[in-house]
Amino acid sequence: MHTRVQGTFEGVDSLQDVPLAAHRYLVGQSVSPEVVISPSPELTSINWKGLKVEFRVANRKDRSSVTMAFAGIAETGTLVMVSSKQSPINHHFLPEFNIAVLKQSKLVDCMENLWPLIGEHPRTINLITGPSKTADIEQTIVYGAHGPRALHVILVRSTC
Amino acid sequence: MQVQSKNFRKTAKKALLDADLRVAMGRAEGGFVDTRKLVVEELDNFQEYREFARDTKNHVLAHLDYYLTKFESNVQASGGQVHWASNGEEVNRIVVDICKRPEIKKITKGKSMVSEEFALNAGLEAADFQVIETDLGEYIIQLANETPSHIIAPAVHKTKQAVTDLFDEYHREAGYPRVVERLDIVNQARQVLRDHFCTADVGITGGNFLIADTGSIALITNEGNGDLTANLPKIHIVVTSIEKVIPDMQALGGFLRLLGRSATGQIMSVYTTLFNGPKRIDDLDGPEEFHVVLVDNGRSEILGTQFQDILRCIKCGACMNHCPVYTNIGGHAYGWVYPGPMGSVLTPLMVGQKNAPDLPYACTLNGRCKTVCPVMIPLPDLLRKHRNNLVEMGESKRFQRWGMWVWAQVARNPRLYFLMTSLYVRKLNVLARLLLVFRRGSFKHIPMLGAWTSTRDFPVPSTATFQGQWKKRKRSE
Repeated sequence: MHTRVQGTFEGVDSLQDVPLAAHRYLVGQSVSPEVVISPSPELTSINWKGLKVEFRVANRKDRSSVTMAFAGIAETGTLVMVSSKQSPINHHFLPEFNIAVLKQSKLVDCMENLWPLIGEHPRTINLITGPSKTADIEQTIVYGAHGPRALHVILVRSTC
Repeated sequence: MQVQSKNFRKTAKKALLDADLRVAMGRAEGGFVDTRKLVVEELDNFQEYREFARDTKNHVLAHLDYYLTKFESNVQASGGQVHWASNGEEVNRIVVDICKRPEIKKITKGKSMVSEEFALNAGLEAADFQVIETDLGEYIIQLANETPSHIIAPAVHKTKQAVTDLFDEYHREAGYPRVVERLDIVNQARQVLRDHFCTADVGITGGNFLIADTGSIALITNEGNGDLTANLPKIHIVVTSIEKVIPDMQALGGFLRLLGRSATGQIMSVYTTLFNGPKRIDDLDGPEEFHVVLVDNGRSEILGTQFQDILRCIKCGACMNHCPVYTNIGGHAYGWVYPGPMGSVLTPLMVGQKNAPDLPYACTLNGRCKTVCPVMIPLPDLLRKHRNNLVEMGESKRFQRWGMWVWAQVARNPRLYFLMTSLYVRKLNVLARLLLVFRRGSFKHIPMLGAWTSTRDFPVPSTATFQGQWKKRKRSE
């Protein structure tokens, strides 16, 4: 479903494989391998060898971000992002390229099964389905309106 | 927004003669309709979701006070502030009051049809704030100093060429080149608006659903402008209307399955965001203040009337996409914020029937809008009720009332009906022979039907009426 909504996707075996996959993706997009990363424990614990990384809030100069998805919804290919001190909101919207890491164990089949996993609501819950787009010029779709031009999901198969 | 609906006949005629509009509407036509059809057919139980949405909205409208106060207390519990506005003036005053601080100058704004009802932008500009629309379509019409012509595609009436010229006029001074290709146009808007996003002091968005159980606002967009508007400035203000409340998160899923499919033919729009209060203490970003302005502006007066069904509307635009009147004349001809079938029902209720007497007649009663409406609003039936009321109010033309009376007498008497129709059919056939058009099979002009025959030919009828042929066939059997 995620590829149907014009996102790209790849699977890796463990969190340790994420940096290599991210590097390969950015080089493939002709973007320099510099990323701003959400300071979640999963992402800060990885060795980001080969990439220039910073753990802070994204600003408008950042071209690429790596984020950690709270969950994924299989029915619609949707990423679920829950804001917190480990997950800044702007990482999903400001950079041109957004790489989202999603653990396979965090997949739910539909939205109805997602809500019980989220306790008290944070400032934002972002349900993101594909890259930003607009059809405001003669009803023809153009990607990269205000949010990311491209959204790449790295699915981590291992449970740990 | 100023009500111009009284001039509907004139504006509709003008729209039909507008060559640019015909090009723009022609390019848009069918796009939403075809994609909607595909994704609706894919979902096995679309009809069940429609019924669920209808019943949920009916339930909420019957207990609106309960759900709104529940919503209010949950917004407050999460650190937000709720403001109640009974009319547009109050909304403008509330928003200006929130923004009146020396450090606040620039306001970014996401798309909000509700705010068009009372020209919020003009109100803010009058109080010396700079307001920038950030949805691409809204940005385009803000530059052009126009109003939206579609509730989800506000600039659908603009051709690419028109946008090229507009951008050239307004961006040239800042050193931007003239852009012709779609991608370049979008990129230039992205660059220009990025500056505004990052320097705005307040962000104003609308809301698609208000979730009573959690005090959250659901906002649905494709561009991502809503989120940049809501999260980058220090203050986030949501301006939304009271009928948008739904009970809980479990209900939201059903509405989302209907909304994306009905609006743009998407299984899910790109960004569905739930906003809940301001940033939490240890959050790294987000606004420090969160305000929700709950707007009535005439809605509570529709509650409990024969038009209550229209308050179920989730503003998807499917009815107008499927309306032969809308797709030909575009949205501006309707003369107020909401065009198409839902607009023709809602506008007379909100601005007064006397100010929009022709809108209930901007309908062929073909019923497509009712068939596609995700919340099952019986739009043609409501338009018919408007027509009834207009006649009862004496707002119809005398010859119309007289004609209807004659028709009613004839139609209620089968023998008289048969006699009159066979006479008319015979008369037309004789006329066709006299005018030597019988062989061509159609009239170019018919007395008293000039409005119809001015744009198309009227076929010469068969020599006998349906009833006549039916009887003849029965006899021969």
